[in-house]
Amino acid sequence: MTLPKKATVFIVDDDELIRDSLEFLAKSVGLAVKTFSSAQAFLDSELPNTPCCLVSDIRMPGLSGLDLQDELVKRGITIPVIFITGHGTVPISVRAMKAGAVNFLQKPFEDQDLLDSIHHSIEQDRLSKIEQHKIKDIERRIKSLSLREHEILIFVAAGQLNKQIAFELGMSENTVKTHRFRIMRKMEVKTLADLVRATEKANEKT
Amino acid sequence: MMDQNLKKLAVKALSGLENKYVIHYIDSYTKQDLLLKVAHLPKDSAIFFISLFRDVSGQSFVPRDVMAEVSQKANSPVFSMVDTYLGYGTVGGALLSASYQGKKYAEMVVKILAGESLANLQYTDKGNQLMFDWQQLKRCSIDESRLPIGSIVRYRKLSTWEEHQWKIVGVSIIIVMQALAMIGLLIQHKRRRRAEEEAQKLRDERAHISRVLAMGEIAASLAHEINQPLSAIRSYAQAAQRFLKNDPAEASKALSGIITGNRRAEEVIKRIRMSLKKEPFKQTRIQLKGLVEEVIELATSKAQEQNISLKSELILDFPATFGDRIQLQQVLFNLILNAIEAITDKNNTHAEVVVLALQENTQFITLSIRDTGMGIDEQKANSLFDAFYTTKAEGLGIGLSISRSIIEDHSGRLWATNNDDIGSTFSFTIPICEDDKK
Repeated sequence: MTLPKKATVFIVDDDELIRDSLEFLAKSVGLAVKTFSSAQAFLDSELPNTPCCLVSDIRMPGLSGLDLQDELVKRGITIPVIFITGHGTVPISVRAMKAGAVNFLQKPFEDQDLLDSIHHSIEQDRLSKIEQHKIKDIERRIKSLSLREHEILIFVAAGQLNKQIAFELGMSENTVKTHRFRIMRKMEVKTLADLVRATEKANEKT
Repeated sequence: MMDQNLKKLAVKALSGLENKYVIHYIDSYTKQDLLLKVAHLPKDSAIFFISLFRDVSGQSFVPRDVMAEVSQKANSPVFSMVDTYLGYGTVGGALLSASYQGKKYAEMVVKILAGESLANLQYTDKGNQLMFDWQQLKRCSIDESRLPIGSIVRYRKLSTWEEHQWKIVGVSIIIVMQALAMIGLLIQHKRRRRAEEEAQKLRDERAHISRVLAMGEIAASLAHEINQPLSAIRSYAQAAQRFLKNDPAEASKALSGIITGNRRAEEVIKRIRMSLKKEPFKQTRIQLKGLVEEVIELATSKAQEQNISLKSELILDFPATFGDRIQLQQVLFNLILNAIEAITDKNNTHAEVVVLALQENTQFITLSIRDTGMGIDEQKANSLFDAFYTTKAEGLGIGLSISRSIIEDHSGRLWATNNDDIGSTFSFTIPICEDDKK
């Protein structure tokens, strides 16, 4: 379960010069860059499974940077957002940060500030993507269990002994043991602790 | 000649009064003698005029007219018997009224005809009435209060007030109302003038505020427009620095971006210049004195607010100059306002701004604005005329920059020097009108 290393920076700005200069800046530190001239164009694009972050202007014709941020939250897309603006005001920056923006930079800014923000965002996104990947994996394994196995998993995760489970479900202790062995194999875990942790992770998500 | 029957009656009526009064019967005179006689009667005399149809010379008269003449000449009051004499010079008295008697008798006749017994009708009223002539009373100084009760006073001459009471009241009312109307109008006029002055002041303030706001707005948008390419240039430059080590091709592209950004910033500045010169350049002949006076008038209130004396020392016979009147006024106004603002020491009683003119050669006239302000920091003197350079807290730093570009458009020069004693002087040259060159 390895993720592609190449991280992508998405840049949304209506000013071509700014867009182009930011692209150069990001490329100069080895990042992949995709630029968009409007918020809508970005929303219409396909997002990769690789770690990424969004650098967006606030004041733009059509959807503003803040509108874009709202729309992403609404669609359940979790991508770190960095805002850059020529005339930021305190209320706007507060609103942006409350909605989960990573940073809010005033033009002209120190390139290192932006690059640090980008790196930080990408790392954050990478971790969150790994986490998501793990959860999806566990969910896939849980789905591969039979109905009976799933039933027994719930008892096992709740800390019940084989004897108790056998009594509860009206089956022999040996049958429970056989099911448990199969569950461990299907869930790709070696110890009971790993099994409990995996089921908890899956539960957290739902 | 007096009616002898009447005389007999009179003598009879007066008998018994001889020991109280001296009675003369004047009946054997000519009219001339009579008039002479009555004019010189002794003191406290009274004339009782009975009648005179004919005098001793045999001349006939209408008695009433004779009485009028007698009354005119007499030094004493004239009394008489019948009411028809009233108004012809008699003072009056218990007068016999023929019309009153006639009316009474007629009433009796009507009663008799109605069948009333004659015995019941006792006629006692002699028909005499106490009647007096107001004018004769006045002439003989007889006080009205001394007249018997029930007296009728005729021919009363009304005083102007009594006669024209309503006219006088009417005219007075009109005069008073006109006066009030005039006072009202004067007050209204004064109020209106004050209101107009206040409105003008408000307009001036509003114009100033809107100008400042507009400038602020423009400045904010300019700041953004210049900020964009500046920001881009910085990013390109930093990217280029990194690429230089291992990717010269990319570095070169980033450098091209810097040039693009630079060009855009230049364009913004060019646009500012263009917009500042939106007004078409209208060159006319200008009499400097009038132009300076107009600007001084505009700036005077500003100077007064700060207790600064603002004056011009211009001599009359300068040749006419040539240029855009409004733009030149703008420059002068701006320099005067700067001069006023440069004087920060408000308590200085010698605080003044003086506008001077000097003709140095046949080409130009130099106009100078001298202040007693804080002077110019020598080290910053070069930046003074740069756009967006300002020493004022709320200044935009474009006044002097615009002023200089206007003067340069007029092929003139704008410069600043510190005075020997205190403050600084800003001067600019204006070309002399071709026709007026001497």
